[in-house]
Amino acid sequence: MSDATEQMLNVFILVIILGMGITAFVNVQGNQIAQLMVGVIIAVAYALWGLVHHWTQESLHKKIVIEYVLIGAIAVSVLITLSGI
Amino acid sequence: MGVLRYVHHLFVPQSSNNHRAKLLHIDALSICLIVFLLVNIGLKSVHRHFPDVLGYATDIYVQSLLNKTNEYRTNANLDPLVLNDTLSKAAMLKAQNMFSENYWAHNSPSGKTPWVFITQAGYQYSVAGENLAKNFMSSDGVVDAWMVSPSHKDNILKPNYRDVGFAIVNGVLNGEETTLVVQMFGTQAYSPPKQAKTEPVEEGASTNEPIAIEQTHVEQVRIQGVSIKPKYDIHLVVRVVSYTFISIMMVAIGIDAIVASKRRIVRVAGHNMSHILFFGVLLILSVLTTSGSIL
Repeated sequence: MSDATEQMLNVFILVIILGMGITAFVNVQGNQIAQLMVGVIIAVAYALWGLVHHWTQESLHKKIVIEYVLIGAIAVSVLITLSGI
Repeated sequence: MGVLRYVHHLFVPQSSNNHRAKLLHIDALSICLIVFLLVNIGLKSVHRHFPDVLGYATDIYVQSLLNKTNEYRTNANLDPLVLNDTLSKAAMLKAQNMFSENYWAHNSPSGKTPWVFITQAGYQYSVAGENLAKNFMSSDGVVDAWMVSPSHKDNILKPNYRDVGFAIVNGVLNGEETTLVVQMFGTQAYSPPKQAKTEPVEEGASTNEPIAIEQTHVEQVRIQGVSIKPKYDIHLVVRVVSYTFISIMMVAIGIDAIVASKRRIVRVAGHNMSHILFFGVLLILSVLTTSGSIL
């Protein structure tokens, strides 16, 4: 598989993950705790996607691991603040 | 000039930030996370101690809840529900019990089910149901949120129900200023003939008086509601802070991606396009986050 095809496939998988996340989030509207749980799952899935993506591209580095984890954590903190829990 | 240079340093890859927007460095992201958590704690603390300054703006009325509920029933070709003051009393008893026993659930910690309050209020039911909501801004928001949830929607659109009662009560739940909405549904085990209800005059003076009192009481329940306008609405403040933060992050990632691509900078960093996509989704989730909670 060429690099460009692999990139496209990775981005496609990410779009599917995020799309499923949004759908699940909409389905639990009105339930703040369930929404927060879906948000956490999306953030964890994103961080994992990032790690797998860089691993397959052979560019995984400690700095990148921390970057994805921090971005996921920031997203969760934003959602916690918004949900008022 | 110094401020401009610092903003440039935060957003644009250059030698001073090792060719990566400073805002996307691990130390800056860590600071962002800590600052956001502190903002969260700060807002909650101000809300807890000064709810009249930073609180939940609420504007919920029984009549609006009834109208919206019946609008959904009418759209589904169902008979509208009749506001019943005994069920409203049951809803009020339930709300008061939730504040006194400090719980957010259908059953109380001491084991009281919703049916206890319905019976206690004097409503003999053949079928009954309950929907709960807290911390919503408007009556429409409450009913719309119930309609998104299949189990709550089932209650609203159940053909078996004839009566409905509401209670909107403000108080402190789990240490936080809370506006509770209790909606109780039911059908009486024995329903008197419709004629006796709609034409009380025919029943004579002796039965006319209590019915008239009952109708007056129903009118009082209809106009009942809670309207709270704090100096700053916590929903709005939290949303403005969150949207601003997410937008700043997206701008930083966008500028970094464009400049790095133009200058063909090679570095060890995360995928900018995926970060933008993720923050875009976070923005959508922020808009979709429910302000109140239903049960």
